This record gives sequence, C-alpha cells and structure tokens, in this order.
Amino acid sequence: MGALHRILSLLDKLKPAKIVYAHCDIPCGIYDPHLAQMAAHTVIRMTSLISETTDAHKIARLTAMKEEHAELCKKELRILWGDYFKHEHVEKYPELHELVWVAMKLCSQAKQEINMKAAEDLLETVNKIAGIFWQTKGIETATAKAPYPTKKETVYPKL
Amino acid sequence: MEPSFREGDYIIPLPYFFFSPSAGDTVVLKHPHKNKLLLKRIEKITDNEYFVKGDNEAYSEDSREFGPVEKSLIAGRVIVHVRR
Repeated sequence: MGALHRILSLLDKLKPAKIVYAHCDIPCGIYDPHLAQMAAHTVIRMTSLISETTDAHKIARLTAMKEEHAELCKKELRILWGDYFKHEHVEKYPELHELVWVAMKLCSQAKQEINMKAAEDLLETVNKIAGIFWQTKGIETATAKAPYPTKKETVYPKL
Repeated sequence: MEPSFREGDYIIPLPYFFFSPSAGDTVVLKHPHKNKLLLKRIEKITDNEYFVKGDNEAYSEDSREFGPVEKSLIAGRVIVHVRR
C-alpha cells in the first residue's frame, strides 16, 4: 500500500468517500450448475424409491423429498438463467431460454406425478444447460456416470 | 473492473462539464435503476447514449443488463486512480 493510498485512507476515515461499485452485488461470480444437477438426480432417486414401496409413511417422506428437490432444481436454474447468463450467451446459445423453460416444466411435472421419464428428461435437460454454462467459461466438459445410486450420465467440468 | 481496478482502490472522477464522454473512457455513473454509483468503461456511443461495460465481463452488471445510459447519469471520468 503506497503512501498516497495511506493518506487517502486516513482522509477516508475523517470524511468517508462515496463507494463506487465495479461489479454485481454479492456473492460475486459464484455460480455452478452442479446443485441443479444433484437436485435432478435426487428427483430420479426419489421417484424410483417411491415405486419400490407401498409403505404410506415412506411414500410420504420420499414424496416430500422429491418435491423439495424439484423445487431446488427450479431455484438453481432460475439463478443461473436470471443472474449468470447474459445476452451474449443467449446470442451464442439461442436454445438456452427454451432449455430452461423445458427444465422448469419438467420440474413441475416431476413434482405432480410419479414419472420416471419426466425425472430422467429433467436431468438430461439440466445437463445440457450445464454444458452451455461451462462453455461460456471456456471450460471443457466430460460426461460420466454419476457416483450416486442413479448412475446416470452427468456433465462435469474438466478443471 | 478487475484487474484494472480492485476493491480498496481510490479514484477521483472529473465531471465532463461541456465535454462529452468518449469510447474507452472509464467513468463513474449512477445505476439507472438502483441507488448506487458504478465504475465502468464506455464501450460504444450510439444516438447520444453510452453503452458501458465492466472489464471483468463475466461478473459485471452493465449495459448488457440495463441498456445504454444517457449522459446525465455519467458523473465523471476517472482522472486519478490510486491502487490499494
């Protein structure tokens, strides 16, 4: 810290300068599609487990968890779509709006029904969004079977 | 505006008065919709409106979100920059 900065810091304490913001509000730059992908996996898993039991109590708990994670998936997608993706991303990937819209609809369908196809389509759509996300950061991706009981193909960044 | 400007840096802007901002100028401007000042660079000028953009593009809230701004929102051009 130079002498001039020290002088200005002292003056700042005596008469605070106005703050000028050079970037967005907090948290700055921390976006990741992984939470949406994990939520989609959970929706698949809960849908599968519901189909494997007739115990009312278990079904109630599994349904509650499916509901919660489908909603979490929606929330994470909304954050990526509304806060991260910019006009230049949409210009380069014009399918982006449609993908997010389809994913939102699939989240709702997965909540309303015990529908494995909807749950699997949700993960597939979220994976496409994740692929676009990492491409906008110039990061290559790879697809691998997730280390969860769902064992579904998932898009991961090559970091 | 990293790496050009970092948190904790001091800047002194000078109002344009009778001059007009130019593309490439680093300016302090009022956010068109929120009660705060922003530090951005003028990327282009079209029809007397200024398209501003942050240097740290991936994380910048700028004209890509809120559109080009009028001169009346531009408080001044940065003439002094003291690094932290």
